[in-house]
Amino acid sequence: MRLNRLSSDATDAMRHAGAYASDLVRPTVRLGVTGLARAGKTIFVTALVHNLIAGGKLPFLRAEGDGRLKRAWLEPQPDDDVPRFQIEDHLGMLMADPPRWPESTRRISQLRLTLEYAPQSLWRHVTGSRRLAVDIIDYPGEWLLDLPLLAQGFEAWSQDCLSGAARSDRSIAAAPFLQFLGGLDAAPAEPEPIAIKGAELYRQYLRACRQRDHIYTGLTPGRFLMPGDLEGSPALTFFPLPAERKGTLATLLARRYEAYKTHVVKPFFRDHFSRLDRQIVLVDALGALDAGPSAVADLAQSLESVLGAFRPGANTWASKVLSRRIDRILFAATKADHLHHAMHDRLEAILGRMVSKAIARAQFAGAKVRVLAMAGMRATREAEMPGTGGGAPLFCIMGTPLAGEVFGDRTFDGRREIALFPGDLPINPDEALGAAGANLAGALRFPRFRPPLMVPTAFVPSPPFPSIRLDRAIEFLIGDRLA
Amino acid sequence: MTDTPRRAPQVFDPDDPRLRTATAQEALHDHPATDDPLTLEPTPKVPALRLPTAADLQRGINWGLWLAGSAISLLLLAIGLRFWTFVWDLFLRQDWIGWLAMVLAGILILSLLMLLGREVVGVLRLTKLQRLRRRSEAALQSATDTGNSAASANLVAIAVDVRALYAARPELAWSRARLAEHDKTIMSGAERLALLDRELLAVVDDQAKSAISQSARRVAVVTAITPFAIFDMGFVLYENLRMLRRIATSYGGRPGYAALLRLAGRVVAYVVASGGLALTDDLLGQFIGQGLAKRLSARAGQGMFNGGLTVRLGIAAIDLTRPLPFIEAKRPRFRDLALEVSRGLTGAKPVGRGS
Repeated sequence: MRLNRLSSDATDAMRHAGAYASDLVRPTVRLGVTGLARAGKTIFVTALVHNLIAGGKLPFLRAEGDGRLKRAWLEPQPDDDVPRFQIEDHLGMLMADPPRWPESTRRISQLRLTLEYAPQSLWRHVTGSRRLAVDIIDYPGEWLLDLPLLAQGFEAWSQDCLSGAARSDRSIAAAPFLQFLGGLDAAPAEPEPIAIKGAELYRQYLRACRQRDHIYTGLTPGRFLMPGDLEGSPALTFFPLPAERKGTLATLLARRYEAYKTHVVKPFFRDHFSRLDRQIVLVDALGALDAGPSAVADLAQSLESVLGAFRPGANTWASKVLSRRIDRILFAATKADHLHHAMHDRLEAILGRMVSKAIARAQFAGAKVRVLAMAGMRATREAEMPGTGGGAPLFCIMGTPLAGEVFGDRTFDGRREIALFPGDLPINPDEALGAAGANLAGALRFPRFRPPLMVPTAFVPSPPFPSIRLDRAIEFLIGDRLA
Repeated sequence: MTDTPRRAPQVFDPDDPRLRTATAQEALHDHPATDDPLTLEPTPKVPALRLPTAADLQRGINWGLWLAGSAISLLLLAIGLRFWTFVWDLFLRQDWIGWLAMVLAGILILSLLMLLGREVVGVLRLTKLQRLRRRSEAALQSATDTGNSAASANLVAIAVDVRALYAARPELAWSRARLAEHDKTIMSGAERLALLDRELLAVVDDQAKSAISQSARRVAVVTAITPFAIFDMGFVLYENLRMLRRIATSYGGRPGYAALLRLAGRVVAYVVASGGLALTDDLLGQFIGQGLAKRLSARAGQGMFNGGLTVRLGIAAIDLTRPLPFIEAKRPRFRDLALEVSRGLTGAKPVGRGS
């Protein structure tokens, strides 16, 4: 299924033309922020907005490094039907004492940040456009898993899902649901309660796959993992049914499935996703490395299926009027503060290998792609421990692990600081992805750390976050629009 | 590299005395790149296509230097002998005259030594700049080749050395302070060097550029108004040497006479090597394009030519004395500087990025 078929009708063309015209008057860039659960989306958006507003040090954001960025402030967002990104709440949690990580993204949200800058180009001087509105759209990456659904009917989808559930590595998670399917009455008098029960069991199966086993591949529909505002609505009350089952239940489920596509999947892709200009995909590669080789392989696979949704390409004038395309994609390995910076190159190499197919596809279509190891908020310091026997030093990080994090037989209380050597990342990224001969099981540990304590003073009531390469990320994403 | 034993994750006490929590910059500086066993196997070096640099202008044995050295030594020997008999004579006549002569001779020798020392220091400073340039070019090359952490550490070490070069310059205090703000930020070596290039060396570049444009303008004017060719030749030589000295000084070279001559020789060789002397077409096109050649007399055109030559030499001198290659700062372009000079001559307001 190509997205073009969604957005090729005349109304969409008109809308894109309208967006282009208003972009001339009021320059706007729509920045999509996505990633699978716990990839660090909320922190990234919060850090980006806060550091720009609070005047943090961002030397590699060219406009800021040159001193051309005058100020940044929040404005009312353009789309009234999308929830606002609750930045004040997130900031409040991070600035509290003791600080806490904010709650994760559960639905789409939006924020408009306006930047005022001194333009370098003569044209912008003349036209007087010295403001850039950045619309940040934060949405769960799980929703992108739904794109293949648009091309599939209920029966084909059911078959895919059920063959996935029959796989051996999911047998434990899938057992209750499969048992329920086995005992199903062929033609029940009341299909609705069965649909509700089945949907619930199916949801539990999907969540168990994700949370316990870190499996993403083929876990559709994405809204079952991240329901957003639709929790409990009929559009989310269905489950895959074997094709040989016919009857009232099958009819009901098939109708619900179609409703899900029409009312949930299509509007998201049409109204939000297809209008993005720039995209950052956040990936918690360290979390997967921590969980083990199979989690890494599966993360790579699920990223691959998520990134199938992108249709990047260089924005030419004609393509801008007709349909917008994402022309820059940044793949960011978040939580780089859980590693000493000497290892950042390797982290980038690992992520680059994970998304290599998507990168090749995007570059072929003319989009710019970068891979970056970054951290929106830096929770650790760095240290070195001399290696034993004159070997290489152990590159450590220091910080306070979250309460309940486990290392070996030790459980942290969330108060005491530790120095951690998380292990050496492999130089060859293939080893991390489970190449032959590599055994990384237990070789890497990345417990999560508490956010740093930020003390507001009278002079600096909201200090900017310490971060890693946030400026590089912003420069890549919107730097060209601040020329 | 798979055969190296994997080191298991460990947790240490934060008060462990072995733990070093120096800032990234210092920590990396203490580990020379060669000690780092994390280094990849050296990748086969592919010679990259690049402009000839100072390193390519190294010569073998300098026979001229030997000739001059031996001649001067002989001369010194002769003078010393004469002097000795002279002082001896004075002592025979009257003691105090002899002592006076001795004291004067002492002062003479001392000042001679000081002068010589300064010259040596000047040459050493210049070689240091050139060595830094060579080092940074090689390190940047290997960092992009392999992207390994050892190369990155090496770049950090270079950044520290370059900063030490400008640590005492009062006019760079602001740039230094801006740089120091980022010391605790985490960056790779290449990023650190790029920042240094942009924040600190770009300011020095501006100084060098203004030295070039001032000298070039002066050369152009003097050539245009002096009636005697011999006079303006002398002036061009003098002014160019002065410009080289200013450029080298702003990059931290502060050359004496010997170093200046050496630099001048290299600059000329460099310009020749990079084909810069084939400037006639380029230059004339520049001015004809502006319709200047039509408006100005032949002498003024000659002035422009000499000014352009000065700009060429100045840019070559920047290439030879700048401790880093241009990473994020912009390399001064002949076109910009020449335009600035010609504008200054025709009375228009000079515009330039440096002003």
